[in-house]
Amino acid sequence: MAFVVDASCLVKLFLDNAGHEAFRAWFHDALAQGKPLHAPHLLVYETGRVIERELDDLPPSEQEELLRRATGAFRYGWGRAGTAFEACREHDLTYYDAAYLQVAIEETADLVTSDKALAKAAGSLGIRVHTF
Amino acid sequence: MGVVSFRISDRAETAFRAAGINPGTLAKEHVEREARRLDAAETMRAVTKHARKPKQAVAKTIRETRREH
Repeated sequence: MAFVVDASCLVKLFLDNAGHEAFRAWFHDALAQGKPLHAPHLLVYETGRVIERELDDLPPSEQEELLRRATGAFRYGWGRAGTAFEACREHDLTYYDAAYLQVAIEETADLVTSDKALAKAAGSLGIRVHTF
Repeated sequence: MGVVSFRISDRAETAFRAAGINPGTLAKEHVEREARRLDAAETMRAVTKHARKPKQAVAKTIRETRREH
């Protein structure tokens, strides 16, 4: 089983917010078992923005290393050209949401998220969702 | 014996050697499983090293950013 993980969950690796322990355990197992992890390139930028804002006491080199390690296990894609735009129009999604969902559809992957709106949109498209 | 004909990460190779194990003497499946386990543990150590409570409601902020643009 493959998974798409969005930034709202991935940041739980370095932020102690609700559900972080369960997500860290899941992420560790996913890595140890070699489960395919997918994401749109957007994941890197959303995660980087959170690191820049929340871990602003770290030197840039450590912020960079953290971002590299947190996002390094993913295979990046953006689905077939045009399909995310179609999903935006047909399901009234933002392009950001559609980017995650399109990769999930392309890879026949489950979505892992803490974002209720994204989870709801995924559910409406028949994508299985795991929330932390 | 002795020659690894498949790739494992440098980190996993180093960890095997540090444990006194020559990965070339083990079955490929076993080495790959152990390499993944070692890589996963090392990744988790690296990403949780600076973990702290968030200053803001991060999921909400990400959602608002996605909506704004």
